[in-house]
Amino acid sequence: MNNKTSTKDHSHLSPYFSHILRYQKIYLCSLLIIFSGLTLFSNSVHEKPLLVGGESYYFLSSARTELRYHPLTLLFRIIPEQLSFLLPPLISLGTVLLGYALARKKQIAEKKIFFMVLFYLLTPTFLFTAVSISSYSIYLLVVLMGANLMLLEKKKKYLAFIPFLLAAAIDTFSALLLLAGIASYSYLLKKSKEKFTMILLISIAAILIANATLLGAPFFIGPFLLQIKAADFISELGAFSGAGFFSILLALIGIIPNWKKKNLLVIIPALAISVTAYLINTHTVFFLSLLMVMLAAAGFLYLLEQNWKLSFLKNAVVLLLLLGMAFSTVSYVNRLSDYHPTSLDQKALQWIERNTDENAVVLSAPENSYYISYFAQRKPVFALHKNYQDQYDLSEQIFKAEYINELFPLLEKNKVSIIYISEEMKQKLPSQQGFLFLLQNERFKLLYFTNDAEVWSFEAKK
Amino acid sequence: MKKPIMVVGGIFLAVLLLRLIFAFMIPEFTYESYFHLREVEHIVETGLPFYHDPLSYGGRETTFLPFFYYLAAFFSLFLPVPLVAKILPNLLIALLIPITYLISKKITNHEVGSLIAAFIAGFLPILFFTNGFTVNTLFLPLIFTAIYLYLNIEEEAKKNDPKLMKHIYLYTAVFFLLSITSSLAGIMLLGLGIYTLLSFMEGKKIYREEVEVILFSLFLYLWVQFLFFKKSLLDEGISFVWQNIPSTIIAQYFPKFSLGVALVLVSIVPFLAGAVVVYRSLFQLKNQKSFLLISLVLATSILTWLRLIRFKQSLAFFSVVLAILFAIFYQDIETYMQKTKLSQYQKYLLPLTIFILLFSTVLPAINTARLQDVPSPEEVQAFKWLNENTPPSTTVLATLDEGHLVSYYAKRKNLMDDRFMLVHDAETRFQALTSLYTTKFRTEVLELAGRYGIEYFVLTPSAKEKYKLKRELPYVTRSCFETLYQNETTIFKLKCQLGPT
Repeated sequence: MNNKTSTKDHSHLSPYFSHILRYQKIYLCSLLIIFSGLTLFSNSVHEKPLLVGGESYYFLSSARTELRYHPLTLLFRIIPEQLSFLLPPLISLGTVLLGYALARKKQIAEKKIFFMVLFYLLTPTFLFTAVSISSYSIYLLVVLMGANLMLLEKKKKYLAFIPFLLAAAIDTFSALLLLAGIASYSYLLKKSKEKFTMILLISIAAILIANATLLGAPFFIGPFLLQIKAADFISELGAFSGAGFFSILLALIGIIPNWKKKNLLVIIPALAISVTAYLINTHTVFFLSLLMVMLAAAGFLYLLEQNWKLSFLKNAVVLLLLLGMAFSTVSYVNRLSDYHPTSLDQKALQWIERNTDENAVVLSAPENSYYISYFAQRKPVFALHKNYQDQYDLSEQIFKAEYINELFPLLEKNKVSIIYISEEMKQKLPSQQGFLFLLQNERFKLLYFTNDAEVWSFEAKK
Repeated sequence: MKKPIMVVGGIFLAVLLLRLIFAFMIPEFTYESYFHLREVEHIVETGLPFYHDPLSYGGRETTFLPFFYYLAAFFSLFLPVPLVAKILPNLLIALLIPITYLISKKITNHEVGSLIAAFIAGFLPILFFTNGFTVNTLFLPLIFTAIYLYLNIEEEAKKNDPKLMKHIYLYTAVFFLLSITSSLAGIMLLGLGIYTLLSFMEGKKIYREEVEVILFSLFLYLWVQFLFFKKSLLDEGISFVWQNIPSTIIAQYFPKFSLGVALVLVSIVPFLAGAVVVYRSLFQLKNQKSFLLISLVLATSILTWLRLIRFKQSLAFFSVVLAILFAIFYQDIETYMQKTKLSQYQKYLLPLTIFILLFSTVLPAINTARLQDVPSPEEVQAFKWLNENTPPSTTVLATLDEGHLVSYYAKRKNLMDDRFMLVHDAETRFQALTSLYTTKFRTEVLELAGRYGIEYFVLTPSAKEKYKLKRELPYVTRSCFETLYQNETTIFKLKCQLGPT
């Protein structure tokens, strides 16, 4: 690894900043390792499963049970499960290094790539993907790999087919995004008439069609959580995804230099697509966050490079921005160690695996479904990624039922035999009315409890 | 030069004296003031704000911006807290008089108009709650000082005046204090945003210094808010901006705009004059001098419409802006009269204005001060009785407004008060509170009292009036309740509880 990314003159910058810029790869990669290492270490100390998030366990359990082709399920059939926790930090590290390689080839200014990578590392969406398995982070990695290979000499560039075709197999939306990206780069920006581009586009389109029609790939993969459209984009509003307020503000400022450089023709469609995708499925916040990171870096550089009349205000603004982003990140990393699954979840679900019928259907909060599939190896009632709206409506009906004659038909219809009440459900659901109150009925039996997690059985009508 | 300063000083002293007379004439404070009193007393005792309150809601985390409390605590080093709570808010509100004068003078350069604006600011009915010890009393003078300093920065940037840096340093200091005083400082930012947009649309040049000051203010404000309200934001998400107020009473805190109420509280003359000035500035004269104030009016209106700030808070801010705009109105009238045959009557304009203002502003202000919503001495006595005659860890039922009286005078846990932020079950508690004052069923009362550990029930004349109770609570019987205190206010002790079924 070439640590000295530049031989450029940094004499106009402060010596500290010049030093950081010169060794940015080392500093930023270390930062990434510290963030993911801290979360993994904290999980290990608290005896929590090392990987977090529903998507991680969706892929881990799919690798065991489902035959459907997906690059990630294939990967987990090859690598041992015990080592799966290493994959997310390695993907993030690979993404950063490939980003640097691409920046060097495209001659992106060092300062710009520094802030892009820094903001990428500080953004909750990407901090989350450093400790969870995310299909979109794999997508970004292979797309960057493809982009790097595409810029190689004549025949070597054909190697780009492999990562690009893998990227096209994630889901229909990301394949369409890839098609649009390559087509606009080659035909609109480069005005290329190469056969290579045409073959590449046809191959991606073929994979897209085959994946969507023959293999039944979804248009969007996910969501794996209940969606809160107003909050999922802003991590400070309690979400475990999205970007921070300061990044979003900087991204707004970042529109100004792009406006001046007449880049709006690229930014506006990109924003329109990612915002629309987010509004349909908040799991695609990954792409919106990526755009925010790039715009925020441009915004920050714009503020930094402007000739401020009041230089002390410039220093104060830069300091406030860095402090704001740092506080936001520290607070997020702190919260991340509380993210599900907890050790209580793991223990209770493993108890279900050992002590219940293997055909049992388990009811729990929709976001626990993927942990049930993996740890309990039982069928959960909900699968949010399959038909979100129906699944959401069903969960609302079940958990907001006030009377047993509303609740029991729903449980019977869905063949529920085991109920898992997690610590979070106990905190969120009212105890004096609704679902938790109805558990007092004789058809429910408490099978297992530990601290605040409970497992109940539901006796179907004979 | 000396004469106007003396007039402003005279108005200031007269207003301060009148306010203090009312403040001391009425012995108690407005209901919400008791929360702030407790906070100041805690800072005086420990040096730290009360972020874990063991009495409110039976014990809860709370969060607030601390500057007002520290300022009051500083004065409390020299005077007793209740005395500071009487003098300080009135002094701070009276400071709006010289600030209004300075802003009006800066905008109009018209001496008499500016003096009248200062006079109006001194007697605004909405600001004549002389017994309120609230953060708003510091927020208003601070925000108008920031506005005045910003106007100076704008003017000096235009002239490249060497005094610019002095005003910028002052502005940053004042804005920092404003940011750690009240989240309502956001009005200033939204106002500056609208001002930039308006100026852009009307071709008014925005100087680089102004943009830099606006950017600094924006990031400083956001940073401070995140620092203090991080937990509330994470816990409450987007509903944080509505301060977690239970949906059943949100209309009470953010009522729909009522022209009648606004006319009474803001006073009719500045209200009408302000409307005329805004219309003429925006659509006829394109008067750029008043853009900033008009932007602030628009910002307040937008935030009120979105229910992001409370109606009375927005009216208070609005009314001072209208007082300043009155200076422009007066100047316009005077100029108009000079151009017409009415010029011979110009000498009557000032006395006539003062006469009208005396009736439309001073009298309603005095009336507001007289009719402030404060607990009666007898009610306060009942809460003090609770402190002396009940065990320290008990929970007391009182109305939402009286919640702070339970914590302040009785020093006992309350079921709830009007600080909803970071309370997860505010909605359920409010339903329980309403039920406990309105239900006829004793089983329901026993279930709710058991759930929240309530042992003592306080029924004040205010509670009777609020819940339209003719005599006592309908479920009170000798077998289950013991009357411990009976005056105009009654205190009951709950004797029985729900048995196992």
